[in-house]
Amino acid sequence: MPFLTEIRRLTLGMVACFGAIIVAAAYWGWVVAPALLSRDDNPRLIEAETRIDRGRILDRHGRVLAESIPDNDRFIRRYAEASTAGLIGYYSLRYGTAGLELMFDSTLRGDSAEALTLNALIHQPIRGSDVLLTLDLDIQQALFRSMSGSRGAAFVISVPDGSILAAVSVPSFDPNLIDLEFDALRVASEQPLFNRALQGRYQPGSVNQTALIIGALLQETPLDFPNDGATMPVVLQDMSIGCSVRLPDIPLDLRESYAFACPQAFVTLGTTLGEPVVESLTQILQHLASVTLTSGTDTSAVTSTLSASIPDSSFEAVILGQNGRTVTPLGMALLAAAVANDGLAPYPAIVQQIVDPNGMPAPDPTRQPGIPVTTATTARRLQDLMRFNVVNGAAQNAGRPSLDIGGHAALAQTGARQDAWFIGFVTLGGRQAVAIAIVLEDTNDVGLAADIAGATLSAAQQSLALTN
Amino acid sequence: MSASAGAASAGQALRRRIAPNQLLIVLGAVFVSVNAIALSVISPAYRFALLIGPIWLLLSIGGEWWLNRKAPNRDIWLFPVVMIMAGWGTLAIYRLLPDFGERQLIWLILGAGVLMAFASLRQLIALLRGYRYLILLSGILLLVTTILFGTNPSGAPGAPALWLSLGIFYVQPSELLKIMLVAFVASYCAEQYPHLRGSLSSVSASNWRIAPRLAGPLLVMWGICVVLLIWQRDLGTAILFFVVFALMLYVTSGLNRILVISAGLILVAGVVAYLVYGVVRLRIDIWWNPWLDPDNTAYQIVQSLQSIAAGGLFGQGIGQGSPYFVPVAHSDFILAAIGEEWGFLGIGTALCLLALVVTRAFRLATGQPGNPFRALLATGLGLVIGVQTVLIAAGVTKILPLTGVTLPFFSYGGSSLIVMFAAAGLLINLSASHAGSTHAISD
Repeated sequence: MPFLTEIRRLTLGMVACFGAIIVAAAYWGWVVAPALLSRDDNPRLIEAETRIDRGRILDRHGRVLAESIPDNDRFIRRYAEASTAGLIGYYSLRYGTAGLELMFDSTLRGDSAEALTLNALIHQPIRGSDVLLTLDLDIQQALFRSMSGSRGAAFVISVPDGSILAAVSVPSFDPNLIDLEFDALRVASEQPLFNRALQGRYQPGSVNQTALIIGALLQETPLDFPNDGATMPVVLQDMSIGCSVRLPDIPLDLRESYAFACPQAFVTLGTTLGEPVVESLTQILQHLASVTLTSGTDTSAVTSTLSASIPDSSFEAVILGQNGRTVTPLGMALLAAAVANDGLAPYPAIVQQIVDPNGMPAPDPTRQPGIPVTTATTARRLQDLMRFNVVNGAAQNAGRPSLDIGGHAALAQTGARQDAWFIGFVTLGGRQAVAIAIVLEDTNDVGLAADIAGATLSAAQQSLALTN
Repeated sequence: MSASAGAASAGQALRRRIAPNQLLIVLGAVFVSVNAIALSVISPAYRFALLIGPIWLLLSIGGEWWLNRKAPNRDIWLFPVVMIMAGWGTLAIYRLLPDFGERQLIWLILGAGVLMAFASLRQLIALLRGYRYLILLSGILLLVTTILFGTNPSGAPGAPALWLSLGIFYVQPSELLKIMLVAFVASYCAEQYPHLRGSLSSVSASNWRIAPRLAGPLLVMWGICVVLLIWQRDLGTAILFFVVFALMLYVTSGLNRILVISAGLILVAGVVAYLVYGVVRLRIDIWWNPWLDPDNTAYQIVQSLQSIAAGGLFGQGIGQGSPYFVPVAHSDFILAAIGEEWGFLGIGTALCLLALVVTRAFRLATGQPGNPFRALLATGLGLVIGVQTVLIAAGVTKILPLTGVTLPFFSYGGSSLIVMFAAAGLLINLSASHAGSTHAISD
């Protein structure tokens, strides 16, 4: 047979070629498969994502705030309304996830080992768990409506359980249109994508006075000693820091100074209390500012560009809340909650329940213990001072007939502009109350902040009264 | 009698009753039917998948019956293996593009008919040898006609015009040329073989001079391939023709230098094409580093590799993966689609089936004593199937640059499938009438 040798060589060569291809297929299919599949340019990742039946997000009454709607063989995320965008955030295949969508991403996606295995084996779409929030849509809508047209953030907390009833960041956006509008939102001067409620850090300014007055009450400093020139501004570097509202040059005692957030008397008080006491009082605010909605997540690493602190580390700047230490809207709401709750700030909770795809509720998460801020006696005396503020002080706009509302309206200097603060509460009978903190950027209108708080606390009182 | 002895005797009895080809048909029927049923339940768009199993089974049983009558001494492995591959390919195409799958089913029926005809026409082998110059002339005419009147069914501007329109359907002449080329070269080499082997004996191993009767056709064939490359930008077919021809010449002459010179000519043509033609440059560049532009120029090869990666060992299952992300997955990249839905085991099995056909062809060639034409024809047909498989499978797995040829028996395409069935039919014909047959000796 003349060609035998050559054909045998051809056979060997051909078998070697086929073998090499099989080895290459094993290389791509096994050895480097995880790296190949995790590449950003793998369209299967996006396709797999669209096939996840992401769990719903519901308010405390079971009203749907976010859900996934089936569309052919994929799911589209839909949001009930824009008022919750600041808290819930968005879920976008193109632009990622933010807010509670990010915070509870794994739960909403159903990333349990069983679900992933089931999907891998029989390609059934993964269904995520529903997240039932403590949020009350009525209160949320009331707060959002009141804040429309402003820039800032607000938190409403139920006392004594610490449930977050509302959280707003304005200006907001429509999460249903995030894919279309993201690029424009990203460069918008008002930074609507910046979550002021969850990530914003602000200069406390005169809202720091609540901490100082706690010190005064604890040390039994007389509050009714009149101070001449109490309404005169304090000049810190080249900045003039005055009362929350314009007042004539009249003597005010400490209680009245607190009611109008005038700084002069608090500079004197701070000096009287001494640096160690003032430091410990501001540390309370810092501790409250470190509290986040998810334990273990520290948002202190997230810094806001919205508030510029005054580069002055003098003791006077510390007293006036104008040094480098910033606070959060949630932290200030917790301070107000502590006042309403006999000195104990409840640990905030945003999730009421998690319900798996089969309708089975997950075990209730262990509630963190509250944070002691002051004594019960001090807290009750402070409640009275805050009630006085609403009746006679700068927080008058918060007052509502037949509601027991207390609060403190103050300004914070942020370089060339001012932020308006309001912290306060409404009592609901028994030990129940609702606390609120609002910060409005670039305005000295504390009356507006107080008015928003009054409207929101009124809505909260009505909603909770209906629930109970 | 002990239990083990009883079991062994039962096994022997079963083997006596069920021949390997029958067993393959049963396995093929189970494979095709189970996959077709699985596909049909996924979506109403796949409801006609249920037809694939019965049609495949009818063709297979009918084919076996016909071949048992017309070619009882044939190689019994070829027909069932070819049918399994074609049935599998039809399923994979139907899963990707149901409309194309329905058309492929029609081509499968026609292809099976062509296989029967080529396997049972007793004078066909003799005709191929006797009319080799007519075959060569027809081939050149087809090539010229395609260059002049070729079109592309997609109608895409700038797409290679490799098809001829015959009204209701298109044919790809380069597919027909494959068999014509092999038949002509086998006939020519069989005639020249005593002289070629004689020149070998008269030339020392260190002498690289090659006789004109060897160098002439080598250069003519190289020229035809260069024409294919320049006028039609059909890189894959040009390489396939030249490699098959060079290897047939190597088998005929036994000269290792043929391989070296052929490799050199391919290299020269490749370098020139890289410098002159953008499409060649692009293919080599994206082969060298596809990760530089994975979303654009290298999208196809990157998707192919990700498709294979997504399949893992066992695959996602038919209809469960996303092979449609690979552009033209139903044609050149069907191996990637198989990799995603049937996994590494699927790729391995498909390549083993193809390797089985190639090695059976080579085995057939070695069983043709005293008949160099039949040996070279079997070798050439095996080479066409084998080299084409290597070119596309190595391209899909990034061993070689992409050349744009189909995977034999699997890929979509009427011309490709029918020509491959014709090649299989010829191999069956050769196997059925080889040793000791007066008919075989007279070819």
